[in-house]
Amino acid sequence: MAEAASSTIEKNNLTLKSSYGDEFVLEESIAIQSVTIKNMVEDGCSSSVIPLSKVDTGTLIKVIEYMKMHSSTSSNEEEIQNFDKEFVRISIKTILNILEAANFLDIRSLLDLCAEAVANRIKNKTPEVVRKIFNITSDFTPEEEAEIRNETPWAFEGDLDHSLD
Amino acid sequence: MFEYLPQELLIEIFLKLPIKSIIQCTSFCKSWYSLLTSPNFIFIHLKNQDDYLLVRHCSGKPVKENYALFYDNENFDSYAQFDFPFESYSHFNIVGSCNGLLCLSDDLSCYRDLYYIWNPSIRKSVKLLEPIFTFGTHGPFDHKLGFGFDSVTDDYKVVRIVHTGDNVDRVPPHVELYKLSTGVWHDITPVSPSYKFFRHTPGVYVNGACHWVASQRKRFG
Repeated sequence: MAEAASSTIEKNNLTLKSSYGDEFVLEESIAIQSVTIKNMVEDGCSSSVIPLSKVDTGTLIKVIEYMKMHSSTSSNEEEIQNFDKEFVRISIKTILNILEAANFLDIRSLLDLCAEAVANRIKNKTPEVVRKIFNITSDFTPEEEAEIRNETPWAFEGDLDHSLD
Repeated sequence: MFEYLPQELLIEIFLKLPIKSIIQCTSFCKSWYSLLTSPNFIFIHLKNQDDYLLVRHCSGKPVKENYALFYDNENFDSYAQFDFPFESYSHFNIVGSCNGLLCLSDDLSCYRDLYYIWNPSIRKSVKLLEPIFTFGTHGPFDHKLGFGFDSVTDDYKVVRIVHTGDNVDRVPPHVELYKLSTGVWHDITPVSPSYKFFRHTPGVYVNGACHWVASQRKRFG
């Protein structure tokens, strides 16, 4: 009997390992918000440590924080909304890291939250700032760029924000 | 700052941007331009939009047309208002709307061959060329119009069914088709059913096809 009980407890916990090698123990019911992890559990691949080679420690801590809050039965809708709002008050680079992790782990609501947060940050920013954030360079000639702007001039009216974050 | 973001995630971000920012992003680099102007992205973007109700309000003299979108909710919340860029004889006939595009014709009080396809969200429009069957070429007429999207050829089309002369039983209608991709009207009378189309009954675009009320012509009317 005692053995059965202990194996039940083991079954309910999963160990997630970040790309830096740090391990985190998490209840299975919380972790399976990630469809990727859920599939691994269902395929019986979760008995040992689950390596998340694409997720660094800092990002994994944030993802676990999110999953814990969103599986908590004690918090109401308003608390979760406030949590989400606070959750993305971090650097845009960190949000992009979490966005990639949410995509890899297949957590749709977290992916939506991060995509929306990035969109809110980059709208009304100058081209220079957006290019820097996404590490892209302008490969248009000045004439080509002017031509695109002239095609829809109203979209390029108004002041833009020069701040980086 | 960020080494590389996969295209699928860029799309997730772009889908959350307002239309003005999306247009700005097309000018930032060539790969973003081709992504954001691709039929694939436009299709995904369209599918991700909520359904809104379009309301046209005409007021004053000369008539001022106001077009606005509202949420389809209990409060009927306002979503967007559009500047109306066209001038008509009185006010426009809304031929139809489809995928965020409006087709307008200025035919309510005179024979004026003025047609537009308008995308109010990006404030762009196309003025259609003069049709084939007009008052100038065929005299007085009564026409039926239709506007819709042809998913087979991935094209927006305007159909015009034109009854000329007095005896609609004896004379089959002329039919012409405008394709947005080519920008010209084609006479498709030979391949069109030669029914008698009822006056004063507007057509409707449902399930990807235009519909009108019509009856068989009397052979010896």
